[in-house]
Amino acid sequence: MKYFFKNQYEKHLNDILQFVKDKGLDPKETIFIPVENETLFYVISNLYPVALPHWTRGRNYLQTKTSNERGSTYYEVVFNASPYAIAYMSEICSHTDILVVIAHVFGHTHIYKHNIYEYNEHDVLPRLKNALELYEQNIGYYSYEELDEYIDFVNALWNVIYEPEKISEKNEENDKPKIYSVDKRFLKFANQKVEAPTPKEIKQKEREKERKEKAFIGKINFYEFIINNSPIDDWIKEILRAEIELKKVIYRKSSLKILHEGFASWIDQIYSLEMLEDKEFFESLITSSRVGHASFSNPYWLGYKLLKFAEEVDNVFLPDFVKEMDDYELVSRYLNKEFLLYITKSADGFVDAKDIQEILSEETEEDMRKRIMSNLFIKRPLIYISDYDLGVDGDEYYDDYRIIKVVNQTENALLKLESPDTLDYAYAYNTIKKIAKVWKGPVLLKYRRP
Amino acid sequence: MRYNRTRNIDIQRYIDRTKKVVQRELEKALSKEDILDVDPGKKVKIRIPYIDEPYFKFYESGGGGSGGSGSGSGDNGDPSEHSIELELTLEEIADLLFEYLGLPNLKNKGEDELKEKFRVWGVTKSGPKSRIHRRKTFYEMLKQKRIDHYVFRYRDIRKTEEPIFSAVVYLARDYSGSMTEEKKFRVRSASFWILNLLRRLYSKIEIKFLVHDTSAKFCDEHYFFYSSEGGGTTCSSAFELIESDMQKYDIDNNNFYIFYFSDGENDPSDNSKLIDKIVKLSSIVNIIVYGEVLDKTNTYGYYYQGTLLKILEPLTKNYDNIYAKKLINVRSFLMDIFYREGEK
Repeated sequence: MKYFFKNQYEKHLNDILQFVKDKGLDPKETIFIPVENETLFYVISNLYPVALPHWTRGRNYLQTKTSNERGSTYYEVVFNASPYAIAYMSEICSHTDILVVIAHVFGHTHIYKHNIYEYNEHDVLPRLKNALELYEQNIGYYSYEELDEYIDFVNALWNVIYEPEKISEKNEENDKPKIYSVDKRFLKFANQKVEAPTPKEIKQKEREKERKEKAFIGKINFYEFIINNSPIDDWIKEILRAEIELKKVIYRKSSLKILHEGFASWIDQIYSLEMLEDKEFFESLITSSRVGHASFSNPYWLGYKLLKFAEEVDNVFLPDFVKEMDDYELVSRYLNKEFLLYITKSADGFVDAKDIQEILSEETEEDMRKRIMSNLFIKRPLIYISDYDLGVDGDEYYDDYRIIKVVNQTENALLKLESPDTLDYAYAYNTIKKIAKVWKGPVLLKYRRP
Repeated sequence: MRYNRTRNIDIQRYIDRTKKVVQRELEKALSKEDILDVDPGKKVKIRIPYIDEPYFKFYESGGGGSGGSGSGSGDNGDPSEHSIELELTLEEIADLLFEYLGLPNLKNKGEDELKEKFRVWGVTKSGPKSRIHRRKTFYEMLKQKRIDHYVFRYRDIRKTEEPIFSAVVYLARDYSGSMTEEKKFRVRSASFWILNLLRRLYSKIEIKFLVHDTSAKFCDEHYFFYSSEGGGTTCSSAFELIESDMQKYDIDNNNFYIFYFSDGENDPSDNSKLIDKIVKLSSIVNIIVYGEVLDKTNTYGYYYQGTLLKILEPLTKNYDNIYAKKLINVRSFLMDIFYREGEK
């Protein structure tokens, strides 16, 4: 553990570490770096210490700065780097704040070390640094705007960066019934014999399967396929891959956000209550909001309350409990009627007991949970590469589907994308334009019409 | 630190992308009072909507569908929730605004004074080390296949001369009792943007304020914008004073602008004299503008006289540089005067 610049915190750091270890935590080795507020905003808004230049990063920075001016406070940001975790601390914190935030950071780094869902970021930081160097070497030959177009491609595919295991299952389920069962039923209906497939047919099917595999048909994580088969320069490919890795890290982070912030808030609350002296304790109450306002959309508050509830109901030991938990499981297991009654009892004042009774009587528990969870976990549309036949001579309208095309690039073959979901036209059109930019060929997208 | 550099570039590029949206927002600021009171050099906060990058998104019925993502007009969802505040100085606002409005379109006269301007331009074989042109030097090295002082190339700094135009601006108004607070605010707002525009064009500019009732006098800026006194109205007195003052200047090498604001009341016996004065001055000055300031009480009221506008409007058809307009909206007033200057 190391705290740069301010040597007086070395002793406090060891004291706090000892305290959290006594409470059952085993945090990862962490380096604390105080940074000026403007740098902290930039890192928080882009969720990573190293970032390739892109116009959205300027927007995110301004947004974070604006929200800070409207009253949000930012104390720290932690990264699961390798071999040490890195914590950027705000320079303008008070003494008490720094102590409490250090305890908070140890909550995060405990999860980094032990949680089974935690993403190993060791590859990402050097890769991004390398990408940044490539970027800077080549910026003389390209404009920032031109390179923005390529990075836009990763933003465009942001929705399809899911965890691969879950998607492959989903995809098989979707494909199976569509292709085979309909034909057989029709044959039976027409009183025709259902013949066993001949060896030739079996071979044909295998070839077809091979062709589909090769052309990535039916696959959702097709960004790698697009990058591999695009005629763009290798250094741009490397930049795109590094950016995709970063997106994956951010995606994994977002799936552990409630757990992380809840647990870190839990340990810093314990530290504040047990270790701070009178004056310091009141100072901490005045200067910081800690868990923040009571709202289901506030991960600090929700995570903290859910973990406290789990501790009370199931009598779990939280430092061990968080090792095999993610947001989805935590919320789906503990967000129920009892939890709602528990938070009204703890008098946070965000809803009256009367309101809770009304909510419970009007809405079934399942509906209520669905509603809250749909706000917490944003569902994203499904897109995959497909090989559908086009209609008669540029006929864009199918029964329920619509096809949009981008054909201004002609270096590469035709790429057909399909979505079973109803998409927003303006967004979809701009997105496939970005995909066509990297693919360097015409791109079609078929999606369900609203 | 690396962040500072990339951060500033990113912010600048985001602002460039949102330029049109920012300019549209600024247009609203034309008639806002808080901007008029800002000291030059201080920053003003402007709120602009959030712009989304492109991604696949579910269709949402009843809105959001038409928002062009990443195209500069993507205002999706609740704007108040995602809006971003930008800090701009008055000069930056004026730059953005006048670029958006396409202003001004003016012809200048007088080039007696030339300004020396130095700029980095071209390549030489000698110069200080700080100006070594690395690419050209490297190219010479390859070409001559040697490395000595003959291969070094330097960026050259060359002198150019640009004409300096100078301007004299007269802002005159009627300060009789009928000028209400609302009318005075409109005058102040229009004058603020007119002066801002002209200051950007002329490095040498002299601004003169004068007020009149039955006789005219020069005054300071504060008195011009805030004073009001009772008494009759003789408009020609202001133009007489301007005419006599103009004798001090070299008429061929100065650009003269006259802006006259009034609520349209004048002594009827003075009208013919006024027209003579204006016609006479129009041969010397670049523009003469008459802005008839109206407020809610007399915009549509039955007792609205508007005598001056009726008298001066026929002149605008015969003379290119005479304008007579109602001043209700500052933006349209500015556009009418400056934007159509080239076409007229």
